Amino acid sequence: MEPILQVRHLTARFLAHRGAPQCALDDVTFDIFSGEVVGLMGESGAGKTTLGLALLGLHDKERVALSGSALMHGQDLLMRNERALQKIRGSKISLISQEPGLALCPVRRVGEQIAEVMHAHGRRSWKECRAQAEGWLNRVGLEPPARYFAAYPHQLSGGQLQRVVLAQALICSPDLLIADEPTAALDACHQAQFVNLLREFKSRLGLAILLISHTPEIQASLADRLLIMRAGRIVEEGGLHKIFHASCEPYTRAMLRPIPRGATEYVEP
Amino acid sequence: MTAAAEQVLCVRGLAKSYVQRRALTSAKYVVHAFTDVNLAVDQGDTLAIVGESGAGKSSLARCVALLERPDGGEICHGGRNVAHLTGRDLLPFRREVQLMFQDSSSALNPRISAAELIAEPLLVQGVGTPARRRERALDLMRAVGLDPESANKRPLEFSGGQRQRIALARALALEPKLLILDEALSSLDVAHQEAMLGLLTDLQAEHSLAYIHISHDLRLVSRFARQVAVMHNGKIVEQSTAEELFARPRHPYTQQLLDAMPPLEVLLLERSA
Repeated sequence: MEPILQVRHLTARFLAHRGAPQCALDDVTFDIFSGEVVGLMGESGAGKTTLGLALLGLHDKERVALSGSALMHGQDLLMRNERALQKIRGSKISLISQEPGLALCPVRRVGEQIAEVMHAHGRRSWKECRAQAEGWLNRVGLEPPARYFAAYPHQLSGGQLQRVVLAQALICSPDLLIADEPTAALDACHQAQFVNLLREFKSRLGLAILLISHTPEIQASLADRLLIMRAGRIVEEGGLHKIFHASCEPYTRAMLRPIPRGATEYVEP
Repeated sequence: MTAAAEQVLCVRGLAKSYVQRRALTSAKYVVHAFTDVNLAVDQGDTLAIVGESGAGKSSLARCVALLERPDGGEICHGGRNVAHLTGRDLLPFRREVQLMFQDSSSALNPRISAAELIAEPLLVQGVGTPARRRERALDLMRAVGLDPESANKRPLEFSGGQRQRIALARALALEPKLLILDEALSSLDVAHQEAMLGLLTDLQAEHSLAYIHISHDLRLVSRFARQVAVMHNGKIVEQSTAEELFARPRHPYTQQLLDAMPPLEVLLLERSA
């Protein structure tokens, strides 16, 4: 089977005003296949977010020098110009990030903000886009959709806003969703609900997800394969069970430390 | 008597509500942030308060530190109720109870240097001469693992982890007995969290400092707290030692909180099926 995304030798350097450029991604190579969830783990500063932004061409070209390639449907994402990238963002590859509140315009109704993604990408009428947006509100579990459609971002909770952003990301049926710490701002109960939602879309839509998260429980419930990243390099790669049960890397083991349960596990490591 | 003397702070029947106005109609309504909260913290002890967002954790922190005035109840410190004190009468309380917030970039004045920020509490309390205060600020920077060379840098020139250390040094400047950490570690990544946890544990052992640690992160709480109070809808629904709480949660809400994310082994087992 052909992978939907082939990343080869991707390197990103942040150009500094003075001093040597900072290498944020160093020779990163991996594939993502259709319907697969690839988990990306690593501490902050490891380059996880830089990788996500590089795939969408969201880095400032003046500040970040990219090399290598990222092939999607045979075309290199890194070589596309801004116009071509605009067509890809949101329709072929979507991004959701940690802070849903910052991703939405505070003075416009959330339903309109979902509909406009579809409107911007297609030749569909506004009326049709609105109807689709209501349908998506329903699918991400915001019911009754008509009421949520008319809501402003400040009227919704963090968990509800993250659902709105997910609807925005999925309304054009992208091939790949880049989810950058999607649950980091949510508390335990909402985290679990959001993970279930992603799992449902993965199985129902065959959606491929690049899941950036440093929470082992979240990776264990969604990821099929894991990439472990440190200082811009992928230090370990493998299937979920292989990494969780058989990794010898001390860095990986430290990343995978779970939430302790029961008195026996309450020990300072 | 000895047991009472060791207590740093004790809170009885504390309550706080806010008056809000509805959009459009402007009709007033009351939101009860928390009601009837009872807590006690001993010297050198760590009490964690957990709960989901909106449970009233931060309002509680602000009231306990008297940044806001509670509507009712007592805050006992040094053998007397301080909840109604104002102005100068509060200075001794402020010296002993300090607060650290989640977002260090908004908690620190961006226009003054790190050393000035750290020495500011001493200035407010009128402690020492300018030279002595600066010396103390540099000592504190060393104590929290910051390079005194960068004393003249402004907060935004530091990384998030370093800024949180500046906030810690500032909170420690007056040698408080109790430090309230309001999600102070939540915005840091795993490595920095580890480093801060180590630092806080060392400081506690050295100065028998007490902490109230407010967090929604159960993993963090389980590593750090001795006592845990679970907050839900403005009430403390369960309070016990960390070992006891994680092993045998009694209140349904605590169970729900712990079960929200099933244990890693269960998740992995589900996935292999």
